[in-house]
Amino acid sequence: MKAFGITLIIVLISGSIAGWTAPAGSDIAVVVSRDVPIDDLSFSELRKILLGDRQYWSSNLRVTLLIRAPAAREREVILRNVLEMTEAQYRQYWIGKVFRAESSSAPKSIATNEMAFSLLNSIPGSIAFVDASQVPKDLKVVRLGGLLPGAKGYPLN
Amino acid sequence: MTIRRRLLLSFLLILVLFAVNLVIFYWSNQKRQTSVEALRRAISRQILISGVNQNLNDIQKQVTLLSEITTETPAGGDAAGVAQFKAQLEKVENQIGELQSLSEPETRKNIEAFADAYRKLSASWRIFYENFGINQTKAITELAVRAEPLTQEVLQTRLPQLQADENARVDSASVNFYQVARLTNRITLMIFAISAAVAVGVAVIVSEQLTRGLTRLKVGAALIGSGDFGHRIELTGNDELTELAKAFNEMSAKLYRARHELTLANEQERMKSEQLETVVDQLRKAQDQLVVQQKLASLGSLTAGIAHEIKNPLNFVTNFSEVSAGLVDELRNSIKEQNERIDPKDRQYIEDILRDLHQNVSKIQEHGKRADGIVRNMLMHSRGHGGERQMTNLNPLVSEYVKLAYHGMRAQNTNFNVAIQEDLDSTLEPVKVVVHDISRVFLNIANNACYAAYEKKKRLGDGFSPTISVSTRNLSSAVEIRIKDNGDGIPESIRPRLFEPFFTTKPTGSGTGLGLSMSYEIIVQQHNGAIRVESEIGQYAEFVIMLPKPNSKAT
Repeated sequence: MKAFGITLIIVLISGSIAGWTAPAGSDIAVVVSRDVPIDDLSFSELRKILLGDRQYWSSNLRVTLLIRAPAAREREVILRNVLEMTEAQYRQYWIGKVFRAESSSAPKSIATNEMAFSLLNSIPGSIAFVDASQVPKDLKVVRLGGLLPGAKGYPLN
Repeated sequence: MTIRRRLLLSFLLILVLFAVNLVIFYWSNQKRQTSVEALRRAISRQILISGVNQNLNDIQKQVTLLSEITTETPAGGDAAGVAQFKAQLEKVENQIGELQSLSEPETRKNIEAFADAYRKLSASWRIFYENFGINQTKAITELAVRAEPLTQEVLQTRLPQLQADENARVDSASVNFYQVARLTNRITLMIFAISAAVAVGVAVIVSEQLTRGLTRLKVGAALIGSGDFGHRIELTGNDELTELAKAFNEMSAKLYRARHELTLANEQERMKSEQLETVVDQLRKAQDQLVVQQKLASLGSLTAGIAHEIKNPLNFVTNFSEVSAGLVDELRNSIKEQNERIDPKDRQYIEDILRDLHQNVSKIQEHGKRADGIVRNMLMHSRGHGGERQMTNLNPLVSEYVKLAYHGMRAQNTNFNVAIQEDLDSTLEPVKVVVHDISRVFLNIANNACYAAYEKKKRLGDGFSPTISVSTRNLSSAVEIRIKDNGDGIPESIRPRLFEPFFTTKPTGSGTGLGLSMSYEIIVQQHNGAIRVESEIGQYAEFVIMLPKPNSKAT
């Protein structure tokens, strides 16, 4: 419990150690690993994934949520546009969810988009949110409400 | 079976029952301990699994929340954090090891699978933790690709399965514990009840047998003690009570024989005593007869002498009184012839003198004859009796002489009257007697009876009916003649003197006192019979004569 408490404190203060942030103005693309059998997500499905309410893509493919560390623009856009939560609310939400054992995994905090790209290639069923302008061509970008980043009305901006 | 063996077997049976109860008690205790131990182990495993679950959840939460952190430093900030994390993992591993040691064979496979999955998870978590902050990509990849599926497998599949198994095992152990408790309690109570019932049954049977035997012995001893030596105590079997009953029976038989012998001896003694009494009685009678005979002999001699001496002068008296009476008659006739020559006055005077003289001579003659009769009786008494014996039926003889006595009395006194009742045995056998003498006996006794009855009649008047009863009986060795009157009876005080010569209760001049004396001589001495008197004062007097039959031994 002591170690867990220390870990919790670390998690709470980690928000102040923000990493690199995406430049303002570009869309945030929803990128998934190649094995994810989905090309298009609705906004509500995205919200469920972000809230941990949907944990499987298919019966044997888990959702691994990769989110940039606090203070990153991608994270900020997601929290604001999709979840309509502050950073503290989002942290509180996941701590509660983990402690209530409603989810066996939590969003993995990643420091850089490169790290996200690397993990997308190595973790089956992973999903990440990165600046659309930095997405490599070999990665699978999922439509959001039928829209790709850059399209008019794309919600993650 | 002997009582000792019976009691020993009963004791052994109770010991066996006690041992069975002890065995059942220890078996029950063992079963309960086993069930408690199984329950304790199941609960321990359950607690361990809960502990493992708790610790795994803690680690999982720790790892999950840690995965949200982005840092460039190792987890926990230093090596101490890593060591602490590993210690947590080892702690869980130890718990799983303990769980394995407590596991039952049937659950060991699941626990092994769980332990194997945990080892993989633990290795994955170690990799995550060791790379966290150092090689964040590797750490997250390890976590997402291996640790989280393993976590899901361990926490959501393996561990719930183990928990479910152990919950079921705890429930089963609990149910088993209560079942064992119920079963052992029931068996213990049942064995105790059976033991108690068997012990009570054995006690009742043994005590019943003992009580029955002792009661029979008690009753038998009481009967034997009360003199019933023929009683036998009936006991079957071969125990001590039966032996005791046999001893009692033998004792009873011996007592019976001893009493029988004693009774025989007593009977012999009694017979000897009776014989002695008879002999003594006979001796006494002989002595009495001897005394009487001596007395009578003396009296006979005396009276014979006296009678002889009196007889001659008395003859003179009677003869000369007869002659004098004749002379008086001749004188009177002579005077009648000389009647004219005698002065009438003188003639009258002479006739008066002659009449008085004739009366005097008649009195002298009368009393002389009476005296002569007495003297003749005395001489007859002294001379004894004689005559030829002949077979005689006594029924007509006694009847005749009783009636003769009656008519004799009635001839002297016309007022005299008695009723004669006869009860004569028609089967009376003839006996050999001197008829003349026996007739005198009957006449004497009948005379006395008539006299006594008439005296009572004179005293009581018409309210009394004088009666004489005559009866005969044919006995086995003798004939019996009874002559009874209903006069005043004979006082006890004078009965011993009845048969003495000259003893009489009649007024002077009415009896000589020789009748019963002669009768006694005739019956007892002459005919070897017996004569006795039975009487009740104021009621009756009865003379009983016994005369022996010819072929019987003289009494």
